[in-house]
Parts: sequence; C-alpha cells; structure tokens
Amino acid sequence: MIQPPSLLLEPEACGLLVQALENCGKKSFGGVDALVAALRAGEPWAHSLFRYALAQELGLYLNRICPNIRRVYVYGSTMDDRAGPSSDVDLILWVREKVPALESLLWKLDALLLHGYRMLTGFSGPPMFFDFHIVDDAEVAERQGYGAVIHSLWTAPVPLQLPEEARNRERTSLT
Amino acid sequence: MGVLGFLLEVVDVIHEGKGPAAQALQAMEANPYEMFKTQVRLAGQKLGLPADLLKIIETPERVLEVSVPVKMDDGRIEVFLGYRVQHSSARGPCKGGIRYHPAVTVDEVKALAGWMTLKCAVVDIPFGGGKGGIVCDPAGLSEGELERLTRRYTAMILPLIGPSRDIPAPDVNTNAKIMNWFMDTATVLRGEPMYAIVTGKDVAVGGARGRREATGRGVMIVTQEVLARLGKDLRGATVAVQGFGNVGSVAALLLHQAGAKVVGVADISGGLYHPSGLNIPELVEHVARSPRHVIAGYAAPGVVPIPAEEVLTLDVDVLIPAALEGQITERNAPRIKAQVIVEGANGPTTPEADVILEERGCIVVPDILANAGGVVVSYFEWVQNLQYFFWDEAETTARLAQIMRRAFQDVWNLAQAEKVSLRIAAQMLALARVAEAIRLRGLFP
Repeated sequence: MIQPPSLLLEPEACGLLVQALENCGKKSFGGVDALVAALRAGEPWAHSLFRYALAQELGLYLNRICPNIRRVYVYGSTMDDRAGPSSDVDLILWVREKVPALESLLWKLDALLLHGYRMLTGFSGPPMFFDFHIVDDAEVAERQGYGAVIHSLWTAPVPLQLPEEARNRERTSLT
Repeated sequence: MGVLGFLLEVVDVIHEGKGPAAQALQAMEANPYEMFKTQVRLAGQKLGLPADLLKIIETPERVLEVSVPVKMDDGRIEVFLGYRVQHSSARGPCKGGIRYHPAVTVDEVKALAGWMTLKCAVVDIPFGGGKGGIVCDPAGLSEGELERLTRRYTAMILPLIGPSRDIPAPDVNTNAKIMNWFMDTATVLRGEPMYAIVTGKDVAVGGARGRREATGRGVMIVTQEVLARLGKDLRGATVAVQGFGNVGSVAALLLHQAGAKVVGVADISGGLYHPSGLNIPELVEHVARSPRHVIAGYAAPGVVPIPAEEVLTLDVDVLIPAALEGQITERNAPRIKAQVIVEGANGPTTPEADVILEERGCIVVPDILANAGGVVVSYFEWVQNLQYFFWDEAETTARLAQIMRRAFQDVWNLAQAEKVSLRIAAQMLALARVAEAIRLRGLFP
C-alpha cells in the first residue's frame, strides 16, 4: 500500500522541516530567522503557526506516498494558538484501511521531526511531536472513536489542504 | 406509542430508510439542519403544537450571508464567505458562537443556531439562538490576516447585531482574542463602548470571572441534583469521567471536593482507576505540570492504568462522558454499568445507544441541560457588561448553581409528568417555552 520510503526518511524529514520553516517564516514572520527567534522565545502564536505549517507539509508528503490516506485533519492547541514549546500536534488520519506499515512510517517520521525540532528550538518538546489518530472508513462510517470527530459539529477538525492531484483522487474515490 | 417505541421508530427509520421521517433523519449526517427540523417536528408533535407554529420554530428568522474581502500579507485581496444566522429572538436577543472553519455551511450554521435557541430555553435564560461562521482555514492565516478578517466580518454583520439584538461568542477555532477584536471593532464603528456585544472576552476587557470552570461546574450541579432525586447522596457515590479537559477535570475536582469517589478517569493518553477513589487534586496538578497536559505518567499507590475506553464501562454510580461526541454507542452501551450518565460533552451518546440505555433503566442527563453552564455564564457576562458592574467569582458560582438547579428541576418534573426520558423532556420543555413566547407575542402585523 505504501510506496517504499523508509531507508531515506531522514532527508525527507529534514525537507519537511525546512519547507515548513520557509513557508511559515515567509508567510507570517518576514523570514525564517524571525520565526526561529519567536520559536526559541516560546511564543505561542509562532509555535501554533509552525506546527500547522509542519502538519501541512507532513500531510502533503503522506498524500504523495500513500494513496491509502483519504484526508489528514488537525485540531486542538495548534488550531487555537494555545501551542507552546511542549505541545504536540493532534492529527487525525482518515485512511481507507489501517495497515501496520503506515503506523511504522509515522513513528519513524515523528522521531526524526522531533529530533529536528529539538535541534532547531533548543526545547525538549513533547514526547511525540505528532499525536496521530488513524481512523479507517468503517470507523468514520460508524462514528467510532476518532472516526466520530471527523464530521463532528462541535470539535470540527480542520482538513489540511491537498495538492490538486490528491483532490482529484479524493473526488474520484468518494463518488 | 410509548417513548421507547418513539425512539425505536426513530432509530428504525435511520437504519431502514422508510417514510418521510426516515429521509429527514438519513439526511442528518450530511445536513444537520434537516436533523434539527426533524427534532423540532417530533418533539412538537409530542407536545401537540400546531404545525404552523412548528414551521415558525423550524425556520430561522434571519440568514445573513456576507462577503468579507481581506488584504492578505502578500498584497492580494481574498474574499471570504461569512454567515450570521438569527434563529429566534422570541425569548430575547439571539445568542451563539462564531466559528472559523473551511467546511462551514449555511445549513450547519442554521442548525447550530436552532440548537442554541433550545439550549437557552432549557435553562430559561432570556436569549434566543444564533450562530455565525466564516469559511476559512484559520491556521493558514497570519495573525494580521486573522485580525483583518475578524474586523471586516464584524463590520459586515454589525447592522444586525448588538447587545439587545444578537450577541456572538467563541466557537470552533475562535477564542477570547478574536472576541476582543470583535468588541473593539464594534466600539470603534459605533463610537461608544460595546462590551456587551460579544461574550467570551478576556477578563481585562469585560470577560466574566469563572467562565472557564462554568461548564464543569454545571455538570457537577446536575449530577448532585439527579442523585438527590434518586435518594442517593453524592458523598461516597462512585464516578467515572471520560475526558480530562476544561469540562471533565473541573467536574471531577468539584465532585471529589463534594465527597464523591472519582474512581476512574480517561483522556487521549489512557485511563486510570483506583477502587477507593483517585486523588483528583493531585491528578489535576499532574496534568497542569505535564508537557502535553494529559493524565499519562501519573502514578500513586493503588492506581491502575486501564485502557481509555474501559472507563465507560466501570462499575460506578455516575458516568460523565466529557470528551467527544459519539463515544457511547450500541457496541458499548450494553456493558455500561452506571445508573446515571451526565453528558458533559456535546452528543456523546448515539441515538442507538440512547435506546439501549433507556431499556436498561439508565438515567441520562442530556447535553442540552448538563453542559449548559457555559452559556449561563455567558449570560452573566452580558448582564455585567450592560451594567458596568462586575461580580466576583463566588457570585457567579452561586447564581450559576441557582439557574442550573431550577433548570434541572423543570426538566425532571416534565419527565415525571409525561413519563419520558430527560432528553425528550428537555427538548419538549425548550420547545414549549419558545412556542409560548411566540404565542404570547402574537404575529406581526
């Protein structure tokens, strides 16, 4: 199901971090240096925006390599600018079916991203940078566990933007 | 047809897709407004309300759609779509939050506005229902863009809102900071202080003391009330709490302080169990210190880690689901041992599970009543802003308790009189109050 990435994950993780820093820095801080300074100062706004940018890059990457993923959602402190240096990022991955290889990939990626985050900011960070909740079609249809959250009126996690080809794939698969 | 039959019919039509009610209920996943209308129709029929009155209640009074142009940081102008729905002002100014989310739809906002009308009516505060939203991805916006979006949206809906017309509040992806901007924009544009135009602000700019604890406190109060009706003392009662955030942790702490034994709690990181009761103040302190603000890592003599889902099926007197919706399902409902369930979260029990729980004699205090403490304290914030007279936390707490106790008593009495569940009684009571206000005011012209 997953196209083989794992031996070369370190550069991939590094690429995600760099891209997130560039996008977020350019968008909201006038440059990467200002963003890094704000992160090191522990600014909640900077930590929320950076986490969201990194989640966005991770979502795009996972969509590229793993057609099994329908959508990636983010919610919690990242969305309401409560994130601090020790906050994790709550992600829900809606997949067609659960496969162990995906979990393994996520664990490895997370460890690498957390390492990068520590080097970048000087903070030890949370035990896991991303708190992944994987739900499959059946759980979403039956509104089981985090499957109930996807279409929640009250919690309403935000779906990460998809590249055009993934959006087309999603449209095709849902019709 | 008895209540159980009524509920079974509802569940049956969801599954089988028969009849007109079935079509409306099947649409609920895709269209919450259809679900709201169906709820109103079913409860209205039980009350014997005329169809034309129900039609008034089903339909929002006003639906405003606005385009919100915002200059982005890169110089482009992006146009966002926003809504404000005023469902009913029959009982007072409309009240309800504003959400920022990419999937906001007008039907979702209409449904949520309708549910706010019912929620305010259940606790008998002088508000109708409203809701608003902007179709946007808030985390994809810079702080400047978010502020400009909020201020422009405020300006666009300002002709329709105001302290005596419609009072917004935070909702999904909006917070005190956004409410502060909202109030400031209205103040600047109207040329006079407009603290009461919005609730959920920071305390320094007119927010209410005790707002954070309000929902959890309300949960504790209704728990106390329901146990008293069953002839049970809260002291020594065993409690399990699912969710240890703002609602669950406050409810657990207050119940512990009142003498209940909170034997099980769970959050996203797992569950904890102690047959003689957990030390909740210590656990709250642990969560505050823990980097992820979770219960994982807490250890004390006699405390056993359990899978998070097991907290729902512990052998306790009271179960408080205070996490997410859809947690009590037809799968775990048959194994729930608690006699009383107090819904701290919104929609934690699926309709199928509701039927099973009722068959088994469980008493469910519904979300519309149990978690209404938040909107009650929003009402207090509005009252204080109107009077420029601010209360201390003790006064907020005392008045909240008074309103929640009275609301519980009203719902309980109706449930006893009509021999219906508390959920149906709450819906009937709310609907009856709205209908009565419409009837008394008459129809203009």
